[in-house]
Order: sequence, then structure tokens, then C-alpha cells
Amino acid sequence: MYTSVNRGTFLFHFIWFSLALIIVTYTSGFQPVLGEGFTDNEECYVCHSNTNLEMAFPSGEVISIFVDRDEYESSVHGEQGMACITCHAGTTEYPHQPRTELNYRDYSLDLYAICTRCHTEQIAEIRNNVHMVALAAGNPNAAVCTDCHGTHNILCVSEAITPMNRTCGTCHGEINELYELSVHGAALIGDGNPDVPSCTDCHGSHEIIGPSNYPFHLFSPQICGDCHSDRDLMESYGINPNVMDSYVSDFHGKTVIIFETVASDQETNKPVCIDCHGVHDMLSPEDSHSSVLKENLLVTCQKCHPDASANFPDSWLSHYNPGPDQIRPVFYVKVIYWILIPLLVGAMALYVVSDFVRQWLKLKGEMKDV
Amino acid sequence: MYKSIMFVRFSLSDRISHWIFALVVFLLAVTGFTQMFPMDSVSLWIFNSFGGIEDIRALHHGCGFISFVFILYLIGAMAYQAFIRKIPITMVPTSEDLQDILQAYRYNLNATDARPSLGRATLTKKFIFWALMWGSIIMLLTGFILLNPIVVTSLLPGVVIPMAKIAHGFEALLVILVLIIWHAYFFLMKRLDAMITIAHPELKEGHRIDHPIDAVDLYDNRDLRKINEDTIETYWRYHLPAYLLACGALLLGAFYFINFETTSILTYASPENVPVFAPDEHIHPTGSLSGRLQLTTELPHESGAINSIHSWKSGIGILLLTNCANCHESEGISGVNLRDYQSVVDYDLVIPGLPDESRILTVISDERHADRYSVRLYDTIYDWISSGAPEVNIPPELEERYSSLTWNTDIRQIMSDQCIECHGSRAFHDLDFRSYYSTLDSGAIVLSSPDESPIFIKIGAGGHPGQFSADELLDLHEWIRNGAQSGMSADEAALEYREIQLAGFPIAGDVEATDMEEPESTETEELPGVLLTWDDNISAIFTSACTMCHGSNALGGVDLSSYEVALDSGSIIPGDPESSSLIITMRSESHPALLSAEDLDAVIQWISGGAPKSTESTAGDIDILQAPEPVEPEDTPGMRELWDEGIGSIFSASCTTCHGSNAIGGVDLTSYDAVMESGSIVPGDPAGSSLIVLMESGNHPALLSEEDLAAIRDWIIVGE
Repeated sequence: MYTSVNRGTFLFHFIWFSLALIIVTYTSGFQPVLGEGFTDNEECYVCHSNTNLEMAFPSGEVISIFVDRDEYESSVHGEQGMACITCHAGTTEYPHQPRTELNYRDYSLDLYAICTRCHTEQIAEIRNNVHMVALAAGNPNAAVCTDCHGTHNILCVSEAITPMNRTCGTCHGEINELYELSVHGAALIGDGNPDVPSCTDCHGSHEIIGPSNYPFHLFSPQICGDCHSDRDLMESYGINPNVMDSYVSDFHGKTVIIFETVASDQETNKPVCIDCHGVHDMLSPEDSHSSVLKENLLVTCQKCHPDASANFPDSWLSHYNPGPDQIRPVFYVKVIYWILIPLLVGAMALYVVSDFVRQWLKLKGEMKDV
Repeated sequence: MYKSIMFVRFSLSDRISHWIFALVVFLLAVTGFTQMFPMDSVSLWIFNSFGGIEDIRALHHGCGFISFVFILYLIGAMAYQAFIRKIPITMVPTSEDLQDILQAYRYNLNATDARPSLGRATLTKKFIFWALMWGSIIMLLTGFILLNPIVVTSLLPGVVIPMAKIAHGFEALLVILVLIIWHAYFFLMKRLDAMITIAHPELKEGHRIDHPIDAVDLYDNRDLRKINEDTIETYWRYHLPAYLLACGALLLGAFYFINFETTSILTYASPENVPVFAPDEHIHPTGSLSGRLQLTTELPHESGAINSIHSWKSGIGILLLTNCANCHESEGISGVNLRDYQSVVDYDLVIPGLPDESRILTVISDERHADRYSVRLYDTIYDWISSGAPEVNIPPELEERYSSLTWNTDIRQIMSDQCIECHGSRAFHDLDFRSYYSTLDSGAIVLSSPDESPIFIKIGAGGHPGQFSADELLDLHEWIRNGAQSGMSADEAALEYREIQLAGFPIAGDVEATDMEEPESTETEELPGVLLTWDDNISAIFTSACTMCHGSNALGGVDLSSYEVALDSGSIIPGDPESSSLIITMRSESHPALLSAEDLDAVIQWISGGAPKSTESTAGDIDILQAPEPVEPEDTPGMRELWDEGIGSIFSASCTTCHGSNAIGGVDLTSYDAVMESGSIVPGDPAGSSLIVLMESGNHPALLSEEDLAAIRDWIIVGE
């Protein structure tokens, strides 16, 4: 509250810091809000560089309030020289104002609101996302900015070293376990393959919508189709690039795209990709545990068709088009009609034309007689 | 001869059924083609206008049902015509029809003037009749297959379904093309008559020309077709009931046709059954963060048990100790004790061989349990219980490995990685794990009894800042169980011990360990009357136990890194340990770290002896600091009055958040008496008062204003 720093020095620091702040504000679009009192991070490091410094909550939780200087200064905020008090605006004096939160989670929820002061664009994006809706409904576990981005160690997304699924997995641990065993997760974690989707590729990031409050299920084939209709990408992995076309030409897919087009606010019980292939645990169709392997397909079909018998799965053409080499019975039906329709329609048309000619000649004759 | 003959060309029932069927076929075509080409703009308009795909589909199925009924009616009507009214069945194709077709082509192309001799059913009508009959049968059959794929595939191969789908679509296309090309041309364009609409069209010349045989037959044999009474009686008695019965059965079949299968209509693909919120326990802990943070990173969310763990002794005990015993020790939470094998088995927490019935697993997999543990821990315990939950069961190959663990080859590295940052040269809590001998001396391990070793008890009690990984714990446990072998000769061990002595002062009082063969003799008893000094004794104690916080950081304004600043800090009052805040704080045990009893005694003895720097300076010879006499906590009316009049409010406004009931640094400034007892004020001597010294130094986290500081300085000068 009172400082022994002389006024000249204080003024010098104030002008220097203000100039730096203005530059940061104009170059980054940020609008930091400064408190008064502490302006230099060094003052904070005096205590917070102590690795044993802890903070207790009434709940009994004890957290370390040690701040790793190197970690912070190499973070996206630290690199720009942002002051601690930009975020910790209420701690501009020592002793700090006592915190009123009862537990660590409440503390996190109170502090994340500070992000909203600068990152207005991102806040607009998250406003109606599934986490914010859950938070508004009173679920304190819903993720806020810091749960995903970190606190003192925030890095640019392009520099992030933690795979996205591991970040989401801190809360969605069991889903992440399934994902990491899936064909996509194994490729990402095991091989570092950048082509496979991680959480945000399907669910979105800031504007993330939950499968429970939007027809996410209905539109999910479009998400899969983004990659699986990319012929070059699919052929580079030896994957059938016609899966979307064959899905949409069949009964299930056709119904789904009709719903997407004319009734997007309604759900249909017709299966989409994830209903057969698995959601987070989808495996390669060649995997012995895959839900769409021929040996396992009956069980998958029985999820919706509980009375299905062993012949039933063969009614699905496995994303292949009938041809002389595959699914020949269906191909032959097509061939029969390819012959029958032109033959009959041609004969009819010929008869109609000939009859018309006869009538025309007759009319012409009668006219001549007259 | 045939002019102006009026007769019923199509009966009323014929006409009604024609138009009903026409409507049904139209609706079937519209609802069918919208499904075949769903993204067409017309289709989308129809979906939007008529309630969406499900309603369009229901309409399609309903029309299919009506067409099925119509086919039944047609069969009955034809039977009535043929068998009751004895009218020749003119729609049956004959060999003459083929000749008629060719003749018709030739006539039309003006190759001949002779028209084909056609009966009542002309070639065109026969064609359209059979095209529609054939089409209807195909459509109904394939429609039934598509509507009831489950029952069909219980009898036929699955490929029948896509075959039916292809046939249904193509046949519909064929029927519609026939209707458009043939029906529209001959019955709408060529000769727009109303025979199918009104009852009594005139038998026109055109009819005579188109139907030369039929016209003669109609006129000449009109009396022959009058129905006699016997026939009517037979009709009412036998034929009609039989027909109705057949129709009833077939209608039931049609109803079955629509409602046979509902599974795929009512069912919904079961969603993924995984809890959405399943946090890693080290991210969202319900208890203390410290202590569990490192351990859980060693037990990541991986399925699959830790294969090296086979028994209570070889790992399960440690896992439960480190993960569970924090709460569930003797008389712990829920009365569950997970510290020893016997209590775990006695209370059915573990039922050997029956993991699914063992409470330990049912509880930790329950979301209501405070902490949720990793899948890997769960799987490890599961496998152990499945294999009979043995207490001691180490496979020979592992036993061999465990028995070969030594300090030299394995344990030194573990200690080096995990312990010696604090329990090395700093010797926190008198523990130095840098050498084999100092480790044995520390008392942290009890040879051959790992579960009784303080090192495990401390780690398991929670709250210890550092934690071992599961593998490290296991190795350490087995090393102790097998007698904590050094793996070195006595000379090598002694040399190791000597090296750490040279590297840094390890343990207070353990300075002169001259006999390397007997390092046990390092204990130093502080004898009464021996003068302890900063240089010889106390500096080492403070360096190892205090200066991490009270060094250059000067936490709480207290710096104990050198003799001068230590006395400046105000926490030591030479000659009066009872008033020294350092001693008061240590005895109160409110300080995060505490000195060992021996070290505390040494410090007290040192302060009692005047807190000398060296043997050269004695209790009465520390004038460089003008060490004050012990402050008598007597009432000093002048200062007390000033306290009450305003000085007290400066303290309460600026100091007591930290130096109130918290008494950070052992300094309590809440009341006049407390201030005097704190040792931070030396009445009459502002320059000797640590409070003033601290404020002027600027090192204290919070600083008083100049005015307040001046007021306090004046207050101290009052002296009494």
C-alpha cells in the first residue's frame, strides 16, 4: 500500500511500463488491465520463486504457489513481458487481499474470468460452448480457459508440445484411453502422424458443441467425410475413398442426409459412421476387434436390429459398389434392367412413333381427298 | 349397322378402381422418386411441404398397402368375370398377339392396309395391363423385402436386400416410363375419350375400327351373358364367402406386411458408454495436491497391470501404502486399514481369487469414492487378487534380481534421483542419503523390515513433497527386505562416506568423524557447560535447516545466513532464549520446518551463552551489535499510552495480516505486550530495533510509509 521507492524512480518505471503496455496492446489486440502497487515481476518472484511456497484453502487443499520463472518467461505471456498483476490484478499489494474461495476449483473459476478481459474474440467463441453451458448450469468441473491452456506455462498452440488429446484427457480420461487405443489415436501418439484427427478436429475448439445439446450425431458423417472423401489422402493410406458416396447411396446414409437438409433440428435413429465403426475407440476394419470386421458385424447390426440373423449383415455392401468382380448378384439385377428398360421403352416408343406416322399419313390422305 | 349403340364400356367398380389405382400409383411414384433422388430441388420441396422423410416414407408404405389390396380386388374381379359371368378372359396373351404386333407395325408403317384383328382387349391394352400387373408384383415383392429385411434374411441370403432395392427402383422407373409413353399417348393424346370416366359412352365408329372382333361379339352375343338365377345363388352361397375369406386372410397378410418389423424403427444405436468427466486424479485431486502429484505421473492412465508385481510383499503393499494409506491407515477413513496384509484380508477388502467381489476394487471404481485411481493401478490389484492375492510370492527370476539389489548398483542412484536434493548436503530432518553409511545411520530404514522402516511410513503418510515411482519403491522395499546390502567393501563404503564429509557439512554435530571404520560414532552429545559458537556449531545448523527460506530470500524478513544478519533479524536475543522468537516459533511447532531436538537444544544453549560468534567473542563481547539486555516485559506506561493513542492502529492497519495470529516469522504484533515479547522492538533504541532495521532496509515484503515509520521511531525513543 505504501512504498519507499522514491517518486522519480517510480515515475520512470511507470512511464517505461506504460509505453511497453501500449505497444503490446496495439500489436496484439490485448487490453491488459493493470492494478496499482506492484508493477515489476521481480517483486513477485521474491516470494514466489520459493519452491516450498504453498497456499491452503478451507477445503484442506494445499497448492503450490511457486512460479517457475523460466517457465513463465518462455510462455506466450512471459515472452511479451506481461506483468504478473495483469492477471493477478488483486495482488498488487503485500500482504495480498485474502482469497475468499473455499477450494482450489473455485479459485480457478474465479481467476479464469481474467482471460476474458483481453481475449474478447475467443470469449465470444466459447460463449455457448458445451463447457460454458455446463458451467452456467452449475457444474464446477466444466473446463475453463486455464484448464486447457495452462496458467504460467501457456504456449502458442503452434508450439504446444502436449498432444491435444492429452490435454482433453485430463478431464475426459476414460474417453482419452479409448481414443489412444483407436486407429486414429494410435497413429497420433505412436507414430506422430499429423493426418489423423485429434479431439478438436472433430469436436471443434473454442466453439466446441457437445453431442448432447446439438444434432452433433446427425452431422457427424460430414466430419468423417472431410478426410475420408479426400481421394488423395485416402489413397495414400490405401483406404477406400468412396465410403461417403456408398454410405449416402444406401438407406441409412440417404435418410441421414435428408434429415441434415430438411430437418436439421431433429435426430434420426439411422446410424452414422460412429454407430458402426465406434466413437472414440474406432479401429481399422482389418483389426480383429473392429466392430465392422465381417466376423463382428452381426453384433454391431444387432445394436439397432436385435433380431438380425447371421445372413443380415450381408445386406450391407461394405461401402463397395456392385460390379462384375464384387457383389455380382446385385450387379446382375442392374444389368437385367439396363437391358430390359431400353428394350421395352424402345419398342414402345417405336410403336408410338409408327402409330403416329400412320395417323399422320391417314390424315394427310383424307385432306387430299377433301 | 353399329351406329349409336350405347352400352356400358366399364362398370362403375371398374371406373372407381381405375382412378383409385391411378392416384395410388401417382403417390407411389412421387414418394418413391423423392427418396431415390433426395437432393433434387423438387424432392426437397416435397419433403419440406409434406412433413419430411418419415411422413413421405409412411405415405409410400400406405400406398403400397392400398395397391396390394387393389391387386387382391383385381384378382377377385377377374375371377368373377371369368367364372360367374362367363365372360372370356380377353387379357390372356395368345399366340395371335405376336402376329398382331408385327401386323400392327407393318400397318403403321404403311406396309399393309390390313389392320390387325383385335378383340375387346387391344394389343395396347393387353400390354399396359400386363406391364402394370408384372410391375405391381415386382414392386410389392421387393417392397416387402425392403420393409422386412430381418425376416427375409432369416430365410434368404443377405444380398437379396440390395438386389430388391435395385429392382424396386428400376422397376418403378420402367412402370412410370410405360405409363408416360404408352398410356399417355394412346388414351390421352391419340383419342381423348371418357369411357373410363362416364358410364355410357356411345359406341363410336372409332371403337368399331379399333375393336372389330369385340364390337361384333358385344352386339351379337349380348343375350348370352345374362346371368341365370342358379349362377347367382351359387355366387352368393359359395363364391362370395370364399372370396371374402381369402381377401380377409390376405388383408391380414397386408397388415402384417406393414407392421411386421418394428425393430429398426424403434431402436436407437446405443451410444458410447463412457463417463464423460473422468479426470486424471493428479489434475483434479480431492485432497492434498502435494504428495500425489509425482506418484500419479508414474502411474499413468494405461490399461494393463504392472507385470513385476506379484504379491503383497513385492509391490501391492507399497502401492496401497502410497496411494491409499494417507486416508486408510489404522482407524482411518471408513474404518478401513490398508496398511497391512492381514487387515486387508480380514475385512474382506480383498477376497483372494474373487476380484469382482473384493470391496477394494468395487469401491475405487465407484465414482463416489473420493479419489479415483488409474486403470493401471486397478488392473494391477485385479491381477493380484485374481491370482489368489498372495502375501509373498515372488517368481524365482525376480527373487534373484531382488536379492542382488545393492546400494552400490541400484539404490544409490534412486536416492540420488529422488532424495538428496533435500536429504543430501542440506540434511533436512538429519537425513543424509548420499552414502551407504549415512543412510543406515539416519534411522530411516529398519534392516529386513521395510514395512516398519520410517522411509516407507513417511512416504505413505502423505504430504511428503517427493515421491518414488512404483518401480523405485519396489526396488527400495526389496533391498531393505534382503538386508540392505552395500555391494561394496568396507573400505569403499568408508571412502564414500568420507567423500560426502568433504563435499559438504552433512549433519549438525557430525563434524569430526575421524574413524571411518566406525561412522556410528558420529553422534555428538552437547555437554552442559560447553560454549557453543556460531562459527563452530550454529552456522552449520542454520545452513542445513533454515537458509533455504531464511537465506537470501529472507522469508518473513528473517535472514539467518550469517551471524550479523541473524542477530539483526530480531529473532535471536542473546542471553535470553525464552524471549527469542526463533526459539518460541520452534517450540510452538507452527513453523513449516522444525529443528531436530538436538539442534534446538544446541541453539538454545548457544543463545543462553550470549550467542557468540566464535570462541574469541564471548557473551559479553558482542558489542559490535550492542546486543541489548533481555527485554523485560514490564509495563512501560509512556509507550503503552502512545500505543493506545495511535501507534497500535498503525500496526493493526499495516502489519497484523501476517504478524497477527499467523505470527509469520514468529512475530506477533497484535498487542502491545505481544510486540514487546516479539523482540522486534528495543525500547529507547530504534537503531537496535529489528523492526526499524527491517523497514529501513527495504527487504521486507511490505513497507511502512515514511510518516508511519517516523511515528514508530519516535515511539521507540520514548523508551519507557
